[in-house]
Amino acid sequence: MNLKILSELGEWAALGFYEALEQDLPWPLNYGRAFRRMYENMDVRVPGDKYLIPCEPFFMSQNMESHKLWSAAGLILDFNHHSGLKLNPSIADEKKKIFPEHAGFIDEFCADLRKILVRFGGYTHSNPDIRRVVGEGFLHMEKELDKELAAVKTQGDKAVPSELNLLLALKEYTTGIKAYYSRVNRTLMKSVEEAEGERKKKLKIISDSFSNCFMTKSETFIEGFLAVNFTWMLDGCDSIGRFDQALGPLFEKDHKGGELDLQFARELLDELWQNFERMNAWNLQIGGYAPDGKDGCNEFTRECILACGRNKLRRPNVAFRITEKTPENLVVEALKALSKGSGRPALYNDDLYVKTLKSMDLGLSDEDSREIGFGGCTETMIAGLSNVGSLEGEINLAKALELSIFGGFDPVGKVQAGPHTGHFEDFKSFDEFIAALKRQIQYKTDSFVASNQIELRKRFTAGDPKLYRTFFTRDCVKNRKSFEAGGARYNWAVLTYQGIANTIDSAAAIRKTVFDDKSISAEELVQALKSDFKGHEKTRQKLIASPKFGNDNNYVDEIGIDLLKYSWNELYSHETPRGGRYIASCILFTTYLGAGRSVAATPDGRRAFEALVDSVGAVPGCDEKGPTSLLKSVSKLPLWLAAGTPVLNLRFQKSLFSNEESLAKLAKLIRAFFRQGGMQVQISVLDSKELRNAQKNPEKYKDLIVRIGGYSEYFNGLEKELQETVINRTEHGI
Amino acid sequence: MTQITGKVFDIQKFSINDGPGIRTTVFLKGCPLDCLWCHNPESKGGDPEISFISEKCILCGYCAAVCPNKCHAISGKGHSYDRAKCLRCGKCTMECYSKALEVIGKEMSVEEVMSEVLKDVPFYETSNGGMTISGGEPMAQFQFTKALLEEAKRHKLHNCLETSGYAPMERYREIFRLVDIFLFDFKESEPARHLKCTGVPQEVIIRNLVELDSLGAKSVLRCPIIPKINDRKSHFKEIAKLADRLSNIIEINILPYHPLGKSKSSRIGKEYPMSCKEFPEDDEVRSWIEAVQDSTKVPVKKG
Repeated sequence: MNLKILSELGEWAALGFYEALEQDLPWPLNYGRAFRRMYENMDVRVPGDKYLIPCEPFFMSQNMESHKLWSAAGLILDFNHHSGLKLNPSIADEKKKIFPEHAGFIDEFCADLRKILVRFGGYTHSNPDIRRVVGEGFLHMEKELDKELAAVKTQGDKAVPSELNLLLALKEYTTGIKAYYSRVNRTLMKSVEEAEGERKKKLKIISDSFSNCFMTKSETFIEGFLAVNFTWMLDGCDSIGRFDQALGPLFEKDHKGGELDLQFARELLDELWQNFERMNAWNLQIGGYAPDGKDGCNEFTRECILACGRNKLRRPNVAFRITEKTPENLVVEALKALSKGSGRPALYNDDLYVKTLKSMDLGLSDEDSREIGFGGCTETMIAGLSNVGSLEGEINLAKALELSIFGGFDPVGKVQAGPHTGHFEDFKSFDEFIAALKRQIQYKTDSFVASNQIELRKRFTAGDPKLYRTFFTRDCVKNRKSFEAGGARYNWAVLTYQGIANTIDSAAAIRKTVFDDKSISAEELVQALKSDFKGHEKTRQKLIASPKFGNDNNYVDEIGIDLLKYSWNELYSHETPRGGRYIASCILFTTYLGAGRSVAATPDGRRAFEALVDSVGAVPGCDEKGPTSLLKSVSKLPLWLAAGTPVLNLRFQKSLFSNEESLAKLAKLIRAFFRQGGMQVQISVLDSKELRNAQKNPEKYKDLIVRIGGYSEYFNGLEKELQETVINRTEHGI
Repeated sequence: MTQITGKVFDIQKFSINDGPGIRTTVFLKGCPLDCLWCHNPESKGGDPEISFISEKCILCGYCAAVCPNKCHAISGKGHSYDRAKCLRCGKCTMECYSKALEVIGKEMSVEEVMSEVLKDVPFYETSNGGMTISGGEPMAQFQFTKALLEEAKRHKLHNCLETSGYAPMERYREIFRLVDIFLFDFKESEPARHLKCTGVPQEVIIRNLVELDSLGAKSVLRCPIIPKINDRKSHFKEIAKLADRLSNIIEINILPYHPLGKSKSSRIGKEYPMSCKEFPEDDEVRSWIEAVQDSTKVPVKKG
């Protein structure tokens, strides 16, 4: 590879990557050198309206708004928090325009990267250990690395090569970080000199604080804030972890001591929120138990809630962990922020999360079980301490149901996709049908686990070891194991389940019409499904009129309890190669429409290829008895077995948020849901009239945000089909 | 458990405007009053009725096939329903899977109603809510109402009873200990107008309210305000005056007119007598509340 041209193109990561390959340095030193060269050479930009510097993970970052890219990117070989170093074809096209003389080289370079960059299925969101960064500082963490490296080196020939190579690669990485930190520092000082007036004053605070933080322990709120921001940038702008817990004490100290300019602090918070949006970044948490078991809410928790109300953006996904001890006024404050329409914060039942994670076979200590963080949409993690394989895969329950009706044959793919579980027409009882369905679910689970285990193991010894996460996730260095190989203190893998309510409703309709009332014959049902209800409208209407999940009706709900207990226990019985368990979740968004497209007509009356339900809630429009009944139905499900986060979407009319009395009642509604076993709820405040208007006049509703499956999105950014789903979601209210 | 049954036209969960906390409101059918603005016209008659919502009809024609009296017909113009011939047998509603046709007013036992009401106990517990019986006029199904109240108390629920006040006093005496809060309607302060708008005299209602108060019954005075009918200053003053006579009153609720009664009337094939079809403006409602609040210390809220 021509390193000179790479350098000319500003392809710093590639430069390091190939440099290591040409020097025959062992894996993963090529990854270490790539990050080192990238950070040694990367420029820093200080836009005139920004204070959080760096404001992007790459100089000249191009964000998704302008380039429809998944995340901010600036290099042909760039990196994304979840997939690591990767080829970015859009940037390649851009660079060919800037360097026409190297167009041929760029093509060859891309072709080579395609060959040598390997990736093995699945990926994960994560959150860095910001408490150590704020409370100890980078240099302190690097000392731990030096210690391990020295220890391995003294072993001489007996040293485990993979341990040595990993630690050496990390050392390359930290060398790069230190160079980058110095450049940010110098750039900030220079921009202070160039700035004037109010801007100069504020930039001076930023510059001084930055030079005092990150490398060493943060002493002020602004220092802590900048250290967190820097770490988050280094992690590629994913999720932050327990933001208010890491910064709350500094905030309260500075605020009390009169050293904090509250207005400026809020300005910085707003800027961070906007950066999350711009970078397509993910999650941060507030509230929840502190490691000592006390409620962790502080003054800064409230500031974060207020920021959710002020910034009508779809990101960050703010997860508010509510404990029995969380002050009621903060819950009401969260509802008020929600009424502004950003869909944030989402509300979590912390007592149940802590209890559940503690009781699972995950090896959590009492203290760590209280350190829950979330990443991505809302995948459950231990903040800064875990690798939770947050999106290793999915299991489509509606598909399993379809297979159980057709004896394992997939009528869409036209192949035998599951075990032969018999003809539907031959089932003598509902129980026989359920047994067939369970067998199909079991088969799907086993096949997934088998293939996932193979893919996961490959990541131990090849591909991107995620050095940034290996360094910033606790215990990886101490264990001398990469983040990918299971170096974190806690490891598990989260799987998402699709079509839950469609499956429950379908089974209930079969129970009611085929076995109990005998109003539809088994033959007729099979024919109706095969023909997508064409010529079988009466059958479809009977199926639709059958009792549905979400109405606090045990006839239906008990089917859901049974099926999910079975499915989720099956999954949980498997161990992942990193150790830890597979944990179920219901977090759908990007996978949501796709899931429906692989399933033909279902016995709940859903037509072929229509969307499947996107949460643990009811099929949109099927919960006819209001929110208490929906919450009752949902909380009967064994949600604790889906602690990866069983998302529930609730939509309320704005009028419910109009006065204190009504807000207080809403808060009590949530508390009652949590007491009964609800784990998470995210609230949208909308009316369907507004949505219809938005559909007709998208230009007037550019900022309209809806939440779907753990994810806020601009309504007008949604496909028509998703828009319809959102509109059809039952509007609870009066 | 008692075998008393009653005619129920709705059980509404997550009621947050019918008393404290999160409640379940049981709506009973039948009312002796005939208020012009009635927002629950389907509650007036004591007998079951067939509701038809044309928007929900998918023109499948299954109703026409089962109707013994040929009331339903599907044609190019849509679905026609001849109510004059209808015997209200309800067979069509059994075949109407799209739920365009429904029976309003189901005969239910105390046990059936309570099993629905008790489902939401976890929500009553966190919010200090409970059961509200409304109507129609619950006192018109007195034995059933009494049995529901007793049963709810056996389960330690908080009870609210919404009433027009138009029932024999001895009946109120019989149940007032079972009711934690009376949601007591006060519709019109001038007796002659009251008779004209509601079809019943007003004096007995005030007498009942005052006596209940003297017995120690807690109440919320619920005042529907209907533009051009009772949105007069003098009426607001009289509301305040009446409230001041009561020693156990909690608050006054101003219930602004809403025109939903119109579509509900047409669903059951009835005329809607009101000409006003608009929601009052927020500012107007605020001015009503202020007008009442100016004359009394009893808190006045929008209900």
